[in-house]
Amino acid sequence: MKMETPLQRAWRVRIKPHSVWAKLNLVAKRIWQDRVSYLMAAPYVLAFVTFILLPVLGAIGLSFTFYNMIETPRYVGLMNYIYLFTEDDVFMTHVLPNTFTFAVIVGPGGYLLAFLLAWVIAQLPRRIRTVFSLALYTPSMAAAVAMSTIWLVLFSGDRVGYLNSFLLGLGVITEPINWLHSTQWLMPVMIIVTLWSSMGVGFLAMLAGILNVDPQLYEAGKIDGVKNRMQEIYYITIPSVKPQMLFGAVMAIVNTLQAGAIGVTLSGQNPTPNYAGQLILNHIDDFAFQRFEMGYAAAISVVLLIIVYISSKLAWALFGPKEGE
Amino acid sequence: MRRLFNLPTGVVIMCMILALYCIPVSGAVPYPSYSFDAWGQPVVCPAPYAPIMMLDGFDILQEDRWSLTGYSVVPFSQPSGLAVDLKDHLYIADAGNNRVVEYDSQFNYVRSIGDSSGPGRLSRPQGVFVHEDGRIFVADTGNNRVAVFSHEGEFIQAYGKPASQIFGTDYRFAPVAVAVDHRGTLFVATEGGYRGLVQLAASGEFLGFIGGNQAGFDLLWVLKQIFFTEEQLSREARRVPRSPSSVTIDRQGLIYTTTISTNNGQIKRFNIGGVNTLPEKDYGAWYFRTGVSMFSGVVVNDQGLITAVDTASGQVYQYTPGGDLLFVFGGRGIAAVERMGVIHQAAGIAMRSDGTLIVSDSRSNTLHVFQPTEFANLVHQAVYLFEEGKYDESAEYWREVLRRNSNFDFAHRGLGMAAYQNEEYHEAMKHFYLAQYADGYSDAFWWARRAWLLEHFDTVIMILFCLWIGYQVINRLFLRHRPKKKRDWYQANRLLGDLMHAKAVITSPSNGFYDVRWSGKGSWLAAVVIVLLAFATKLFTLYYTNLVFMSVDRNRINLTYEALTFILPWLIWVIANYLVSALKEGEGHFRDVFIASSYALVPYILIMIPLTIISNVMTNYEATVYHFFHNVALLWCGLLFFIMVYTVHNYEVLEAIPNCVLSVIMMVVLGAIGGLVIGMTFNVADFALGLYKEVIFRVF
Repeated sequence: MKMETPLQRAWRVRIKPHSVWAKLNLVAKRIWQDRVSYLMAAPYVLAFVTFILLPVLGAIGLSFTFYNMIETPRYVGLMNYIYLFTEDDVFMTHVLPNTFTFAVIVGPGGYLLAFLLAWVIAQLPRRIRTVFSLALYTPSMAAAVAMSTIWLVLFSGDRVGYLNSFLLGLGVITEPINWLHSTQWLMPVMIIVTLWSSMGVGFLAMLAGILNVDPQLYEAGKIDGVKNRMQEIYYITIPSVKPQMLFGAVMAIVNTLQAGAIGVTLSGQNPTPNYAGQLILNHIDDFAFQRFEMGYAAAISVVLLIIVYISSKLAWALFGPKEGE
Repeated sequence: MRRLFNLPTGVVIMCMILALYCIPVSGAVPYPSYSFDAWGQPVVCPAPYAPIMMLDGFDILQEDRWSLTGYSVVPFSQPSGLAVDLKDHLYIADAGNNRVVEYDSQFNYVRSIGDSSGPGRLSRPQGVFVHEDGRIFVADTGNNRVAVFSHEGEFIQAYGKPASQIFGTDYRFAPVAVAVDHRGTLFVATEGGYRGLVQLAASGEFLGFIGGNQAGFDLLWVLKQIFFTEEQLSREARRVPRSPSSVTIDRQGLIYTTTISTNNGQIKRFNIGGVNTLPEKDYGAWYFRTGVSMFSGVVVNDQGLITAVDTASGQVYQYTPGGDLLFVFGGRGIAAVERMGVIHQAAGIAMRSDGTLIVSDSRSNTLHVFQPTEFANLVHQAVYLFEEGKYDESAEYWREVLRRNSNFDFAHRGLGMAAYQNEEYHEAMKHFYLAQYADGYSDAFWWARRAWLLEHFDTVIMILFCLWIGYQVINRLFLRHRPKKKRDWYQANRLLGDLMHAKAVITSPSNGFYDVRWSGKGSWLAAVVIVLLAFATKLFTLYYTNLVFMSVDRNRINLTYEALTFILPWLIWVIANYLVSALKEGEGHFRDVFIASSYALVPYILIMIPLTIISNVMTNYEATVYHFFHNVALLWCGLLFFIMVYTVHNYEVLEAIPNCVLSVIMMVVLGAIGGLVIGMTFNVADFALGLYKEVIFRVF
């Protein structure tokens, strides 16, 4: 029998270290013992700390300060947050409502669309399937180009814009609508364009998930009494691709809340006309890089982070693995 | 000679005026007057205008070769358009007599304009306008021209049909009304002028059309255009926009038109660019209307107050410069009795600088003169200050108005705006609530809420933080490691168990409804309780939703009506669905449909009660949140109804769709039959009662 080291013995009998030093010593010894594992994890941990954890912590720290990029940050406590929720009229009257409207429609809408299209494409023969999935994925890659060639022309504000011309011809409207600069229409246009380009990574993940479902399951389902495609989706496809759907949901949430460029690109202005298409990210951009109030911008970012966190929790609650699964 | 004859009538009229000025005009008037609440419902109010006299033109003497005296009395015949000049002289386009009559500010006859022959002869003139330089423009309908007379009544020139190619050769030019701006540009409303007002330069050059109405979008017409052949299309009646029926201009040069035979945008206010600056809405009062509005005349005073007259109802409508309806008064006479202030067929309207209104009646050939009451003057003054943005100054007038008529909702709006301007947001909320003015209430509440947050933000954050910490502590210490045991409510109480089965239904509807059908879950009593709870929720939302999101007038909620529109449709749905499914091989019993349908209402209860409570701290800016959850509640219920149909009856999913559609159709049929039966029963009961009374009366 191999001899037990003191450390292993301490581990086994759970000796309580007598002093703090002894405790630290014990921890250090344990770390040293697992040094290979730590070495393996080091590159990732270093990169994570440097590029993600430190900036996030830095932002949280900055959010309690007044910082204009020239002077040293000055600690102001909760002032930034208080200002955000009480004094910042633009945030409360435009940015938050806009973000909510946008997220509520684009989030679930884009998610459903991605799932349905992924399912439809999965039914196609292999060769066509590749073409179609590429075609549907393209908008999320080449959004900027498509924006200027398709949407800006379609929603052009003069009477030769496609949509205006069509509606004028029908007699639905009598004078051209300036879709991209009217406070009433900018948000719907933003939503349509974002929905169009929402077949992103989440879509690809779900497509892969659906293609991965074991065909035997469907056969078994048929034997057990599945009568139509609806039941097939509900009882077999969805439970099988649950992990991918969770991923898609989280991606959808993050993408919708991070969307910001769309309103600015469509209207060509920042801030958007009368704040009609102002989302949280535009607001951060406005304060960070136009007014250089970094502390305040950091506070908004933290609020956005909290919102994303809560939404993701919600997605976990809905799609995450339950007990016993 | 002329003066001699004129004197007595003049004296009589003077006496009349004096007498009437002395009589308190707030006394009985022969018509009801209304103001309007925020929901568009008429509220009876003190008369804003009282009739003070009637002019019939029997004081007009014209030379007559055949008469013994050399003169004869020629009263009005179809008086149409009216105009008032800067000296308050009144001009009447007396269409039936081919003349324009001038009265002075005391309503004495001054002269008739229009020559008996030559180029100055008028034919059926329907409109008249007096320019600020004194020239008189007459819409000489019968002669297809606009005739211009000097201040002394001499014919100067005429504007005939424009020769411009753009005007078109087959487009008619029969002016019915004319207005002239200070540069001398004419705006002419013509008979059947569907392209809008004809705009003529002082030189007579055609400048273009302005202020045309739109034909609007018509799906049927679009379909016809797609599917019909050329020949078929040519047989269709032409769809042309409605033409403006009258025109006037205000001191700023804004052009006002009225349009007949429409219930939307009857009154329009165009700037010189031809853009309508009044909201496109219904300017009539649907409450009084039997057919369509026929606004035939409009007048604007220096304060921008718009007054128009509706031929269809004989009523005079008065609006604020923003287009909000202030008053409606007047009305058509029932019999052909001429009575002061009762208008049979209104044709034109004019207003003097002192606010006196004159309305022409082309059927009884009279003019009715109305004088504003003290109440109306107060309202006008308040509205003027209100529209100028001087809310604070208008406040005292509004208070005075409320003292005279506490039902005048607009006054509360004014007081609310005054308080809002002074940053007294709670006061503003109170007034806006009384006025039921949702947008104002929302804004005032937003500021009040902001002030509250500003004061209590750190407290709120601290409380939230403590709650979170507390929750975490309790969760970690006590709850997390305790084994979760499922509580069986059926052991506690049968009814409670049935009610708690709703939880199973909304979390996994298929299983939940399956248990209702095959495991005997749910009971009649529980179902009735749930439906009553849902109805209570409905009432709760009606009474306690924030004003901002209210779609009905809280003061007019009728319990019977609400019950009939909530519980009855639900009951009919249950019956209809059961009947349809029984025919279509559904397996559900009546009991199952009844109970399952009640469970389908549960999401409504669960979402709407918290939402209604939360709505009270929301404003217009959070409207999306409210509507989102409201729609979620409705969609969820709808989905449950659908799942209920195919689970309880053991249908395929696709089979359930036609079943639902048929059920809805069945609901309509049942509703119609029910209405018929109820109506018949009432008739029979009425007959029996009548018979009984008759017998009692005759026999005893």
